[in-house]
Amino acid sequence: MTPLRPSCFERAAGGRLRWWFAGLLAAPVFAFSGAARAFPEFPGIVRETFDLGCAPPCLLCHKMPTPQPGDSAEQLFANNVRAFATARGTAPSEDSLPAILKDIETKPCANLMDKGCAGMMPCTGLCNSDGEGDTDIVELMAGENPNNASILPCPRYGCGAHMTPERPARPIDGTVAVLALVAAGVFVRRARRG
Amino acid sequence: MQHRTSPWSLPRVFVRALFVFLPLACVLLTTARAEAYTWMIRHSYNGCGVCHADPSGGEVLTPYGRAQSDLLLRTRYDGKSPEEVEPGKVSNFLGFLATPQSVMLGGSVRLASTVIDGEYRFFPMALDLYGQLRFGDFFAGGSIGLSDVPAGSPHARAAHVTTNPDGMNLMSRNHYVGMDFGEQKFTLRAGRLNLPFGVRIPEHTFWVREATRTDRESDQQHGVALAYNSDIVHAEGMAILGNYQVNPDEYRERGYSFFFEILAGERAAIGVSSLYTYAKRDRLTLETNVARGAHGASTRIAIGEPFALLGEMDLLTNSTTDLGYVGFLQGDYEIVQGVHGMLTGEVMDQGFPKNGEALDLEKTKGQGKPDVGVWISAAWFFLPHLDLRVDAIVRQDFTLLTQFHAFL
Repeated sequence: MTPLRPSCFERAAGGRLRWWFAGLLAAPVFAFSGAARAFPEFPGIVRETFDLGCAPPCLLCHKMPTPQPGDSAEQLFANNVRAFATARGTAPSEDSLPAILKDIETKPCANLMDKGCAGMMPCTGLCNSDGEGDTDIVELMAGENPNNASILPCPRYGCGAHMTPERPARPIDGTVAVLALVAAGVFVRRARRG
Repeated sequence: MQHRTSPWSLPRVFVRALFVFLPLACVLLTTARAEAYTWMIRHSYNGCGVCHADPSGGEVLTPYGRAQSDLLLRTRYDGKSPEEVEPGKVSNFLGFLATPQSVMLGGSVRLASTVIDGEYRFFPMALDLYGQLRFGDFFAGGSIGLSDVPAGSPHARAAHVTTNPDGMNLMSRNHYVGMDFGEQKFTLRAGRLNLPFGVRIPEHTFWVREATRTDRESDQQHGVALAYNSDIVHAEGMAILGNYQVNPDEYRERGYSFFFEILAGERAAIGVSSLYTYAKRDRLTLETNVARGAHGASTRIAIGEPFALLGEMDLLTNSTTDLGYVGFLQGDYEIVQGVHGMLTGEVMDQGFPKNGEALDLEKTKGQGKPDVGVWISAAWFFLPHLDLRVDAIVRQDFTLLTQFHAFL
């Protein structure tokens, strides 16, 4: 292997340049502040709340299929989520979303512009964003898109993946880790003997 | 230790000219390829198969790769240069277990935390064991690990083996059988493989890896790949047969991916990549009949011993969007051995949906408008097998990402 040579940077700056560079990198870390954020956890919360076979796509609330941070949720269903959040005096969050969704399922729609209200004041109907047939949550649980007449496709993940509306009785948990450790221990012992 | 000789016999003037023009070329053309730590090219490691079982780099380390991780990767506290010491036993699997030459074992434990908009989150980024068994010219290998991601996450799920909708799942990023032939210059593999495309960097959330869907996190596909590695050419082509850990079949992408890199000096390489797939329905956008492509160039160059420059620029084609692009340029400066400062610039526009106007969509940054990101990073390989990393990621939001990584 060729011996390490001092670089042109080192020759030029006697090594000090390295620490200037480090400082230059570190300073801006503390100089920026945050902006709006996305909520990748929301689809999972919707799935859990209504025991769906898979998490709904971002299109349930966003118009862009892969929303970027800062993309506002502009779908009709999202308007209803916001309306119930306002009625509860909160904003949609990981903590508040399950209760908001349950409100949408069971309470008269808080969004007076929703088609489910049919112009009634106060609204007595459940939310029905597209004004077709079933209410939002009934459509959602049937794998349909509450915003329009389309379906909500449901890719499944894992080998031989199938619809599992409920958690398996025995999900992957610490047992697997213990079994893996035991297997590793046996292997190590055999390797040492061998 | 075996001494490596340079394959280069090009006229010195030509090599110098390349060193002048390649940085410019990488900005304008950009594309590259290398191992997990692509910047190892600064140590004249321009090939990947020397240190990794995967001919295009990543995951399982060869015994030689383990030795180099102890000599070159980590901070040394004894004041000796790598040439003055021999690799210790600590470079073995788990830090002590010397495996037979035909057995390569490894693993990765990467624990991460993020602060986004003031909200702190801790999660396991990687909990993997991997290995490869060799029988003469034939071999078989793979990885097994655990993941814990929410149901809506774009990460990990495509590599799941078990089917929990969210929470803990068993996952396998790679599994394959293969053989070497042609004096070890050719490698044929079949199984779930990393896609040969672009710079093989560990930063799987770089736009360039996410937009092209070619990261090593969970974007692997099942297929057949043929790799060729000589002193000056690294190439791999793969027939993509679909990801059989995604169901039903309509979500599986089929097509090709290839990477070709030629060394333009002892510490400089330039490459081209191309990928094209078709799926009846895209698993992320859920659009139907999606033909997706990425075509670009990459480069990796060491300027002096401590500075490495990596870059990639790709055009993005998609039958459901306008033409897009994505790219990055990263400077990696090794302040002292094992301590790295990195500055990365990213740019991306994935293209505005073709039905966007009909749906009354507005062009946004990254989707119809250019988006720019900056990563300010520091990594310290402070002990054998162990490193810490901090990234300040300035995109439309700000993320402070910290990682503790142990490779087994």
